[in-house]
Amino acid sequence: MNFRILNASIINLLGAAQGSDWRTIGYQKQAQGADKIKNGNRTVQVFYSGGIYPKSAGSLNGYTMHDMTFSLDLTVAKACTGDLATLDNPGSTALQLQTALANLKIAVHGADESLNELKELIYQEIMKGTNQNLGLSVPVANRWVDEFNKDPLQTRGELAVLTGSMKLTARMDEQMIGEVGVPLMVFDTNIEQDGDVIGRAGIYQEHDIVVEDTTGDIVLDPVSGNYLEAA
Amino acid sequence: MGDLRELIEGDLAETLESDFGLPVILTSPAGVVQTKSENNPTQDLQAQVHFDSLVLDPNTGLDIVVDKPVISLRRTSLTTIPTLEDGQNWKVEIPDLPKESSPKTTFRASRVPEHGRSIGFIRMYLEAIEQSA
Repeated sequence: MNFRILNASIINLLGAAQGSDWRTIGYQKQAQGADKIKNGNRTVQVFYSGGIYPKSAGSLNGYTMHDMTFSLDLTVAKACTGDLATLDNPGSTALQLQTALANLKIAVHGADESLNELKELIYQEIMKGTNQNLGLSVPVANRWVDEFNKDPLQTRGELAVLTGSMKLTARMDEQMIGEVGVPLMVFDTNIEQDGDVIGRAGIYQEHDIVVEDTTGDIVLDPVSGNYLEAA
Repeated sequence: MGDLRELIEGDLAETLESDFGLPVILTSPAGVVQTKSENNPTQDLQAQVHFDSLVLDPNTGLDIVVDKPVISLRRTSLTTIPTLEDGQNWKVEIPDLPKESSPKTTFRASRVPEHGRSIGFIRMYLEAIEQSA
């Protein structure tokens, strides 16, 4: 059905555009290491999350409209960043260490910025004009990103992990797979009447017949349609 | 029976330091480095170190495996008690492995430490530091 085709198309679309900015995953992933999604390895998980089939926009025996919903789950992980060279240098003075510590960019700040950036990149890719059909060669109606929600920071650890979810909707028709009908049999009928010498009184429609007038012969009277002995 | 507080302090020396402890290094926001214990200047500053955990994101239902270093220190062993007030950054170095001779990695204390003042310990949660671009 088209929802599977469109799901695959969205995955391919984002996969082609990811470069080194994110990774596209075409399903809901289970446990993953926070360090595996750090920085440019942040992930976008695309999956069909549900749909509605409006009865008013469909047929019981034919196609039906499908209002599809796709979830795009965004996950980022960031570490605190700073002048690690100074911090790790045993020869650094107290003043140098003080300056380096004061200029650290904490992980949650980096994660928040990263998720905002990723959301912008994905939104622009999904909603730009050339992707109106989300990568398909057939029309996709009502392509729209309805909402985006950023989740509260839940994890506290070596890395700050932040997630968000984008809801994408679109409408396509779905065709039903049915059985091919049995071809009708054609009966060729010819009704013959009693007394019909040459069996011509059937259901055939013939043009006027011109019969050579020969005495003694049986000829066709074009008026009555009967065969008469020629005079 | 000795003073209960003294007994607790002795227990902390056993559970957070001694055989359970690993050597750690603290650097205050002012750049002052502490490598030795206030209780015994000849001994390295020691802490009980825990390294990782599985955390559930209730919004997405995803399990995230995180390295979640948590260290617990005896307050009396510290020169200055970390408070993280006013966004102060403390640098903490802990061994990569639960082994005294293991090389150390640099972390930042990521949230206000749980004091445990009644008992006499302090717990610090750490986040990794990477070189900025």
